Amino acid sequence: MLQVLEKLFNLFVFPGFFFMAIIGLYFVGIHRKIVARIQRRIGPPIDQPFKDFAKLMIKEDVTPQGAAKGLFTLAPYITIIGVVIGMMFIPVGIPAPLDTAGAFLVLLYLITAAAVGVMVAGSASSSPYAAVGVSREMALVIAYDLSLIVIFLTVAVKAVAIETATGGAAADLLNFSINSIVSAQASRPFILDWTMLPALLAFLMIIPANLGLAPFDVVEAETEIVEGPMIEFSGYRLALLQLGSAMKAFFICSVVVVFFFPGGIVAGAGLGSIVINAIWHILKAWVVYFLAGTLVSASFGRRRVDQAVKFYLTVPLVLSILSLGLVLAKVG
Amino acid sequence: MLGILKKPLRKMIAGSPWVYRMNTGSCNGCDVELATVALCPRYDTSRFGVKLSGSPKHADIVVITGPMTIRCKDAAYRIFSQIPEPKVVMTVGNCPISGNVFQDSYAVDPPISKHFPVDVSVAGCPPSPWAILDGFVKCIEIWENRIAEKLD
Repeated sequence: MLQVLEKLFNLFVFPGFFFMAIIGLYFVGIHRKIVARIQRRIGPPIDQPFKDFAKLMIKEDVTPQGAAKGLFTLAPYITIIGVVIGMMFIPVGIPAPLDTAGAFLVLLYLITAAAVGVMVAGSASSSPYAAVGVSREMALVIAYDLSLIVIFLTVAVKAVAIETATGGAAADLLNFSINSIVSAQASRPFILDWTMLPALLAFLMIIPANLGLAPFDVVEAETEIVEGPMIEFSGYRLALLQLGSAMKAFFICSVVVVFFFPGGIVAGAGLGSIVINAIWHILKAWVVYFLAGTLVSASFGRRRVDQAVKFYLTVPLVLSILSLGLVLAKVG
Repeated sequence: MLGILKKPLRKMIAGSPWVYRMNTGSCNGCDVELATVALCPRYDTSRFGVKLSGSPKHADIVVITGPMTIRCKDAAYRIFSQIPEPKVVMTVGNCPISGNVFQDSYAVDPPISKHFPVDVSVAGCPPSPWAILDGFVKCIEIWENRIAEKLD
């Protein structure tokens, strides 16, 4: 009974829904403030995303007549559910609540599922602008998913190689659980390994497309197709869509942290060390978001969809295959 | 119980007015002042939480320019009905007030207040960016009052 309550607490409060919502919205607020400062203006206050969320909750909900009723209602929840479940596989101060064998592959699926949420939202609105946004999102996801799979493969092969070298338990090999990835980095995190650096760079390049930030924000915030897939949403549905987008930011940065530089600074399982390790994890995730999201989006203009797809099918793919080759050849 | 939360909640909600720009036949002079000056990073309306939204369904403050031309009347009514309540309507320029130079034309139907309930009018042809910003600030005050009414 206590176990069920603990899992529910993990799902809804920490590191689940509430924790991700608050941290994600603060990530977006800090991002907007820093971008404003880089552009030499004052910018919105840091808690602006909370104000946006509160305002959208009290606005009237205008539903188009031709929208597919069921999917229109369901779509905002798909991203939120996807990232909350995905966060259950990531250790934040506490060991991952839902870690089992094969969790690694489920994580890959859930990252794509979060992007599908936007696609379903756009398809369910009966608007040609939303349809254009959905087709652009599909093209972009196909392009960067290729590199994402190779990056996941690289991390898995490296973890197995380290486990074999240090003589880990035979049952741990090919386990594909997040625990095995984290414990393979116990002696040296992957970020300090030069053969993994191209994979890290490729992952950082994928982040702007995943989160809809410049230079690859061709899907949403589009002056050409009037905000793309989210055009027909208003009121609480739009609030949930934006909340899902903010939570996705924290989720994907946490995945980068777990794959390349996990680990807390304080050992032990007491409440104090959990809090300190969680704050350390948030800081690391924010550094990833700052480098790959804020700095990049403040510096570049928007790329066209064909330029974006061509970029993702060349640069991150080559980098991740390079890393995979280096790791397979057991160099370094 | 909710009473004690009302004031901070009101301040929080009023801190995020999103703007939608509707052009009902304007000569584009006011639109140039609006979308390329007043809503641009230089004058930084984002410190008030103002964001230019692309879709009418995301809007709180509706900014209307131009005299209502007969040809776009249906479209304007349709778009206006899609903007969710509560909303604040602001008109920019002399055309929405009186028609300005197009006053006696057969193709226009000023003033805008005949068609939509206008809250703030910024006069000028075109008004200076500072006047438009002043109009925005007044709109945000009215927006806060509407939120207070809705929360009660």
